[in-house]
Amino acid sequence: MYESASLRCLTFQLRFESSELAPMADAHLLQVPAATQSEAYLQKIQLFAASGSTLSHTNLCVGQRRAGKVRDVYTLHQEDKVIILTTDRLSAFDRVLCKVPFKGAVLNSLASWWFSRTSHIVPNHVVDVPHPNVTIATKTKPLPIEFVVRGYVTGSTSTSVWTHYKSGVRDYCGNLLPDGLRKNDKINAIITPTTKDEDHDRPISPEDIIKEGM
Amino acid sequence: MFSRNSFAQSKKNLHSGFESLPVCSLSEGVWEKCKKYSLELFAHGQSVAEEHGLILVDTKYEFGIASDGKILLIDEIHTPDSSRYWIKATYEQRHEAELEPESIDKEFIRLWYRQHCDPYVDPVLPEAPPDLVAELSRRYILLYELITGQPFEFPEAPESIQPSIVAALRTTFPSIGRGRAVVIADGPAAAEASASSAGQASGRGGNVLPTPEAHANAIAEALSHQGVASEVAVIRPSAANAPGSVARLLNKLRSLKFGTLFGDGSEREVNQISGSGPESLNGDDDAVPQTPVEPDEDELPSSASQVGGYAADAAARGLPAPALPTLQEDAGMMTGEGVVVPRDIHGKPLKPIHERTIPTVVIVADAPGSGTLASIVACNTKWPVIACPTPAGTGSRWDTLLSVYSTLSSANVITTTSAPQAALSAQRILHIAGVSPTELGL
Repeated sequence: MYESASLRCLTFQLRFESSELAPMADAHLLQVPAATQSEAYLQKIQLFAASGSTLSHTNLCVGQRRAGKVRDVYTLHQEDKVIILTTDRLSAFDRVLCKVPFKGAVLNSLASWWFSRTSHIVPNHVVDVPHPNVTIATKTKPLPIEFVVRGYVTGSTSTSVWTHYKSGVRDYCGNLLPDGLRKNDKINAIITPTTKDEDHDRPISPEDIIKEGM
Repeated sequence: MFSRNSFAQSKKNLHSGFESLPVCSLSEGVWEKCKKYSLELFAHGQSVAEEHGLILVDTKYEFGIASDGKILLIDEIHTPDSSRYWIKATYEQRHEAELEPESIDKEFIRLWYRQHCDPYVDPVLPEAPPDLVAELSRRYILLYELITGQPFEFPEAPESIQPSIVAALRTTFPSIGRGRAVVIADGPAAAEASASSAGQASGRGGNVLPTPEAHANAIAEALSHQGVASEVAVIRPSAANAPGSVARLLNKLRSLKFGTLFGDGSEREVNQISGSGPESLNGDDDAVPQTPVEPDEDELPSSASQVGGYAADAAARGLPAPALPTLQEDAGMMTGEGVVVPRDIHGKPLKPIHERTIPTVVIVADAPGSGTLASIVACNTKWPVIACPTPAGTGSRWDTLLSVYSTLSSANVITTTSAPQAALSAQRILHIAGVSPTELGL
């Protein structure tokens, strides 16, 4: 039963993929732990979308409000905490494109699942998750760098590994890549730190980070 | 280890909402540690994903330093927004056949936008087809279920989402949705902005004077200590005395959206109006953020600001006002509004904002010795306005008298000399307005 559900859901899933992605022939190989009632879900999603109940813009009137692309952050200076409300906004191209039902709840709940399962590796800012869309977190001073980790040679944007590799680059942000890689090959994980304070995110090497005095 | 004076200056390219908080610089030790953490997190993530039939292809992590100096993982981790996931079962076969792997991400929506507009340039984007949006929602839910092995719990009903958030927070934060203060800072002109940000980043000894924006954030912090909710907005005025500069300033004030408790700010959305204002008003100065790098809530179709500018200018010259966008009635319990009272096509003010919004106090952080911005704001809002000019750095605060002196005679402005004083005044005014100290979290 799980298999047929997953097959249905994954075939469905690929409906909007570009034509080169034919529906999966061997989806039955996929181990699906949750029965995804895909079509029932789609109906529900459309119902919620039509009701206009997506979370697009919030102002809780608590703490100091700052709006990000996807999250609205309310800083409680006195308590050294922040309330983070993950909205349904979809961001790409450095702007907000549209609102996607349940996106905020999925992101926040999934992140919270991962946070609780990785705290043995690194402590995180989560204090409490009182609602699927809301995390109460410790207030921190964010580092000016995003730590991008890549395990495959892929991507098509101007900053992606594959774009650089294809044009002959073998030293990607201080990581040496071997010759002869094909697109989507697995590689040893590499870190490409990316600054957050440019018009667009840009990759930067560790040496430059120290040099730029960040 | 990190500089207290180093602030992220990139207000216009917010990603997570954390970037506008003060950031700290990165020492080599912190860098090495975060690098180690990132690689370990990624290895763990890859193996967990694999157990669930997925490949974690790439991702990004963000770290922050807590007040006790500890490095914490912040923002999000291994979500479909921050990561790329492929379907493991078909990866090998498709890779051999030189086909792209099957993935669960938002790429197909990006493609749609690429095909239907120039998302980096166009000020207003087309609306994505509902089918496509629903499909993306379904994929995100699918990924959640695949990774966690738990079914996604849908809210009971569409209308239950927003009340459930308030309910989840109200016990801990009783002041939610009550009074708030809006802090408006006098921003530097475009050229000064980059110069002052460079100065601020390099200053370490506290010799650097606070900008009105930094002062506004200090006021927000003081408000927090009074239990008053706040929001900071920076207005970048046009060059003084330039023709139409007041009209442009009003435009910018008008385009501020302080938001509803929940809502999409649609009361500000307007239809395209043909034949907008004179050319001179279209070329608003470059300090005005352009739409593509702006968070959505501040977005206003450019036609709206042009029309608004023309309207204000026309009014100033005693000309009949052109058609202005009318505001839609708010369906929600709380509504938000800019500080300018909107007028209908006959020049009659629309429903006053104090009748349709939550109790608000406006605090204006003028430039040192100035009271102009506070005056202009006070002449255009029904809310009480407190001026709290940025300290000039002499320590004496004589400059406050200059601010009072430069306040326009018809403007009702309370001038305060320090951030805590402004915050206390705001709290008292809200109390008088019926927001009890208990509700303010005191």
